[in-house]
Amino acid sequence: MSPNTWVIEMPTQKARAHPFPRRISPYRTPSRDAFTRDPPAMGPSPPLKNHDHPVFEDIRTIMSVLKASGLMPIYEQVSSYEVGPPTKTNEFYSFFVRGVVHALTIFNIYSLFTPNSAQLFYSYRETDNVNQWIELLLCILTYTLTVFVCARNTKNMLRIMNEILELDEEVRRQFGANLNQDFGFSVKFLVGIAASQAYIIVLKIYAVQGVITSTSYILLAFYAIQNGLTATYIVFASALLRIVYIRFHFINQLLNGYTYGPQQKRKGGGRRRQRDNINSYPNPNSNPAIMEHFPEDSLFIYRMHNKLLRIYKGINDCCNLILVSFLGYSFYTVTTNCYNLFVQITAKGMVSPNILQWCLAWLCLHVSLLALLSRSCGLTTREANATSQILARVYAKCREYKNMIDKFLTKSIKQEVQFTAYGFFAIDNSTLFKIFSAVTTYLVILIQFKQLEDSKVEDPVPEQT
Amino acid sequence: MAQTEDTDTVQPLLQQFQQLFFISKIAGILPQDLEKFRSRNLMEKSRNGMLYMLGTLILYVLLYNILIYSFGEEDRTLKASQSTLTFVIGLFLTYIGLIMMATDQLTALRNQGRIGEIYERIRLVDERLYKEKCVMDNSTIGRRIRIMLVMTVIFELSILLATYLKLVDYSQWMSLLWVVSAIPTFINTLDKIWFAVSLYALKERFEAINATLEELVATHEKYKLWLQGDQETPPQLDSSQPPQYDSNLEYLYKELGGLDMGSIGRNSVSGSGKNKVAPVAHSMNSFGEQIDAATGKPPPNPLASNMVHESELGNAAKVEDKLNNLCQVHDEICEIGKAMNELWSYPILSLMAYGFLIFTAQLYFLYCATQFQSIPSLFRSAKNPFITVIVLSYTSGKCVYLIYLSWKTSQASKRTGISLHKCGVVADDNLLYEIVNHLSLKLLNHSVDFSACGFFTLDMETLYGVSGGITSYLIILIQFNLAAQQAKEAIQTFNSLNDTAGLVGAATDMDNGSSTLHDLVTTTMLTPTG
Amino acid sequence: MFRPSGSGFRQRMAGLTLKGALYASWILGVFPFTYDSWTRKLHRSKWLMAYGLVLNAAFILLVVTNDTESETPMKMEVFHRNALAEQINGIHDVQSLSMVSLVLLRAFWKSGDIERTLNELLDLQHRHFRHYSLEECRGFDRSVLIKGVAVILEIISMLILELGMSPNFSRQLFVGVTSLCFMLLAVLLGATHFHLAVMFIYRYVWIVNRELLRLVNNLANGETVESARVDYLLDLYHRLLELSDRLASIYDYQMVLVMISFLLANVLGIYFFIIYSITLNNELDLRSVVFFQALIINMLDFWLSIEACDLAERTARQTSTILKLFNDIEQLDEMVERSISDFALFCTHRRLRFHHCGLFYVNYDMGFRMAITSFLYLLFLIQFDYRNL
Repeated sequence: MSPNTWVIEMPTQKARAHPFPRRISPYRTPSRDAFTRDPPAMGPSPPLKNHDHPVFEDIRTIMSVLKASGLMPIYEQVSSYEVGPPTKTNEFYSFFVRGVVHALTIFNIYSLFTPNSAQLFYSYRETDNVNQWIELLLCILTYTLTVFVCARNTKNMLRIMNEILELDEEVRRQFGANLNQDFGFSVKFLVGIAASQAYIIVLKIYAVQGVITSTSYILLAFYAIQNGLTATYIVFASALLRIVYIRFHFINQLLNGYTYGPQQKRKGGGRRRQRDNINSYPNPNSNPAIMEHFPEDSLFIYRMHNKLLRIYKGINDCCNLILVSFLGYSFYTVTTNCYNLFVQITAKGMVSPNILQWCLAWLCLHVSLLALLSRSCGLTTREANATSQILARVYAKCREYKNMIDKFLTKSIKQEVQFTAYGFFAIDNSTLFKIFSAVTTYLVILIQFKQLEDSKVEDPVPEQT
Repeated sequence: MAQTEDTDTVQPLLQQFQQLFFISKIAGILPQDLEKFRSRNLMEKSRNGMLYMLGTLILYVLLYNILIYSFGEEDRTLKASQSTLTFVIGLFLTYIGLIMMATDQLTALRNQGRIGEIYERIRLVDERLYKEKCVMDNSTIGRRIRIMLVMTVIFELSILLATYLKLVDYSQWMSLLWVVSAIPTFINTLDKIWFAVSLYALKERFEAINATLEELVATHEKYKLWLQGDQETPPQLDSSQPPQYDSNLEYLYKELGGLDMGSIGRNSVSGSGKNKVAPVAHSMNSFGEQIDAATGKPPPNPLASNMVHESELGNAAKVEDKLNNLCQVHDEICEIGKAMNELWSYPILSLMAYGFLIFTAQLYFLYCATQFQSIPSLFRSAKNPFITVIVLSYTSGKCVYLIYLSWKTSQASKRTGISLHKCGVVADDNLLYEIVNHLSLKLLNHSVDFSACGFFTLDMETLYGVSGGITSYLIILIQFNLAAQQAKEAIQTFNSLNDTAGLVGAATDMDNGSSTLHDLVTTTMLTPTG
Repeated sequence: MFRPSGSGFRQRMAGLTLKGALYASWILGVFPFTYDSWTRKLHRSKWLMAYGLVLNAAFILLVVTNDTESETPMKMEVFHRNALAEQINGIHDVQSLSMVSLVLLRAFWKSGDIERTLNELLDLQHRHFRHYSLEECRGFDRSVLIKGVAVILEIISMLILELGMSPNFSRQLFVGVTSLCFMLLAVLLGATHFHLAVMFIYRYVWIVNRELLRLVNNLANGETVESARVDYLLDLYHRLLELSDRLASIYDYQMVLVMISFLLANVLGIYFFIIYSITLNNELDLRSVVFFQALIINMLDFWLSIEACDLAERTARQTSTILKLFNDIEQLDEMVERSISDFALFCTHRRLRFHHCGLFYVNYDMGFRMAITSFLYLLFLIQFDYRNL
């Protein structure tokens, strides 16, 4: 239990053989290959009582969905703190699923360009038809991109997972804290996505006149699956971010024990109210009033923070492109659906409940996904940036400790961490606001178009009469 | 829990809030217990208050709905006769005031336990500041509250009365219900006064910290001068200049110094010995640090000269504690600011949304009224340009003042670092220099930024963006209105001649040109922020 | 500097591209310097400058006098339909001509600064970075290669566009097209110079990063590291930042003009195409393919100019991340620690960013905003034209 059990890990044999990375791709963090400083694979790892404790149990459901759809590798569990690459058969399975997906995509695009799909796009107006078409294409594009990026990033994903697990293990060894938490939201979102997709299909089927051909069924089903899986991936990314958030939060709490606030509170005999929920402070053995553990703990925290930042960046790199295309797709969908709603409401007399429900279902799905994504990104970013703020609250008498604090603070001034969408913009709460203001602008433009279109329709009338 | 031995030394901030609390309690904005507040200046939860507040909320909602219903008859004709756009906007905005009020009240209910905590924390901060010989003067805050209350009442009454007398048909007794239309804005304003005044108090505390640091610098400079032995000559401001100022700032410095020498008479009369909050007022402008350095150096008046010549900055170990404490207080104030921002985040968001929408809508309806089109009955104040001006200045005054205050507060918190560094430079001591470095690193990491739910920060940049947004949306709306009117005319006269249609076409074409331009403005406004 | 940096195929290709750019610039007179291999310095040559001025002025004159472009039937059709398009096209023509002359003139005007900057780069290369192996910097090679390919593609697409659109071949047309291509090449080469310089800076920053990483690794292995080493790296980094600032200030107007004309060309191109294909109800045929390839290549080139700056910026941002790794080391020598702190503080105060005209930083964020803005302009143009659709 004492923090002294922590030892500096030496680089592995392999890392020593290549003292500097042979290759630094500009798209990756520089400290990938050479500086993971992995401990040698946990051969003599501390014996733990639940050895066959499955990793990532918190997000098991969503993982299994993604594994089945070939988006995530079906990894092997080497030990309770390490996952290995998938076996050949499983790899082949993922490969096969992806192949099927691409084949279906091609079929879909083919039938979109041929009259096969004409049945599905019943039209109440010309422009709307085009809109729906673009929406479909965007959906296909997003999903295909997701599959491609996932396939390319299999190894990175595994490495990120391993890093998270390794970090967990260190925390466990050091503090005996188990950082698992309830990820109920992911399951709820899964159910929600499935329900809304099913609802949308049903609406669509009801809306189509005449007998539905089998091609249309396939189209519809695949469309729903594409949408659902893209949405699931976004939920998965949010869950991963949440995992990182919990770790950041843990070290921040750890650090919080050393800040002057709680210390003063102890001294002052509870005169001050408690600011943060220090009750949940997970480290029982470090009495905050005692600074003697500070050097070791702070070093540990710095290390953890670095590792977490690397994981955070890794996740960002993995989801970059997917996030950009999803945000674009979602932006488009929200705009067109708002527009349709507006048209429906203002149209005189011909309000169709079917279209209303359809629009509302889409809006709910996308808005909630956007909110989830931006919220979890914002939370994690804030927590990552909070570490230096909390550290600034640590007041040490001893000069040595001060230097230790300065060491971290100097390197983190103005180095704000951000979760970006391919460098285009940072994703946090303000993204939501920006997206909605952009939606308004485009909506206004669209409505203006519609008015012009209407007046164009009306204009020829006087000429004929 | 109450610190009885401290109460006579440090005045709690809440003492100044007596009238405001009373009014808010009556209006049903705060659920806290009245008696406890009166006797001990504490804000505590109370079940009765909560019930009372819920009751008022329900009452207001009911009254407002009756108001809408009774005045809504005119609107039905509006829908039939006039453009749908005006109708839709009116429908959309009818309830926004009510929503805003409900947000305020519900948030106050949710926060009822935590607001008291914030004032308790402010009191603790005051105590600590007092220990560092930095007395906070809360009387200005009381004055501020009174001014704000009076302003609110004047605005509300003038809008209400003017609208009632000029625009409401007061022959029917139902027209008395019009009074209800002022309730949401009034309640909202009261709630915002709480926030604004507390924010102002925080700003004053930041400035007090800055002033304390400046004072340290000033005394030390005098101490150094005294050591040099030129006590008999009055200190030339140029000679006492710290060396770190650039040469291009020097002329400014001289000018300010000259100004200061000119105003010595007044300064020495008012006496800068006791009241440390007074010089803070000068630091409002952008050259605050320089001016402070200049004005913070009081002339060597004989009263103070015997105690001035011991400078705290000479003693590094002693000053370290002081600086540490100030730094901690700074952090604590930052934290309080954050907590306050969090408590009021939804009300502020709703206020900003309300301000934006109402401002746009009011101007749009004013335009409609000048074109002799009918407008929704709830917005009848737009029929008179004079009343519109009052309404607009009232609404925008609320929003702009909050934004301005938040901006100023975060500016004041950022200025502490500069003041701290001046200490380091003046003292010219290696040990102290290290301390200052360490603390300034910490100060860099204290951040207080006010934002509405994290969606946008409250600063001048946002204000700029919002005003741009209002103009462009207004223009778009007017354009729509024009197009709709012309289309209607065209339909009415469609069988007369073909060239009228051509004319309309040309006119709409021209609109398109202007719309392109204005949309362009919109996007250039919105793309940086949105 | 223009030597191939290694023996692999990719490196050799990159070296070839660099050489090609150098010789082409010499021939077209946009690189008025001579290289003195003894002192390893570039010297400004009055003769080359005069040659470049005369040559490019001749190109511009030829283009202006032999302008047959507006007589193509397709354009005539479009203009007849939409008067606004004609006006905009006129503005665009004037803008591009003035852009070309401004870019070239400013390149000559600033040639003294360019000479000094390039000499310093050469000096850096020779004195400090010669000893490091440069082979592993893939980003550099790839970016250089793609840029070269993009320039060539741009010329080819220009040729196809000009020759494919005009039905009647005449001598005047050929003279006009050739001079147009040369002029375009000259401008593109001017832009390429900036691009290449940015890439060189990127590579040096990358090397500094790698050295820092190596230091951390050594420390983690328990070896000692001299603080002088860190100071040396900091000095290099400082000089690199200085150089990048100077580069940006030399090339800012050129780059902004080039970027604006790329954007304008894209927006107008799509606009004309929409008028042509939708308003005039023309069938899509081979011409649209020609048109689309030109558009895509244009976009590619635009994005490359942003990508280069962003790449350098990202690499520089990694420096501070690497510096954070020093936190892990437990017993650090005090001197080393101080040097590292200096480095970190320097990184917070100044970052490698390319600031153009005091207006904006060039990175992905800006690129994204530019793309959105151009899309909006396109929408407005279409909206204006909606009644004619």
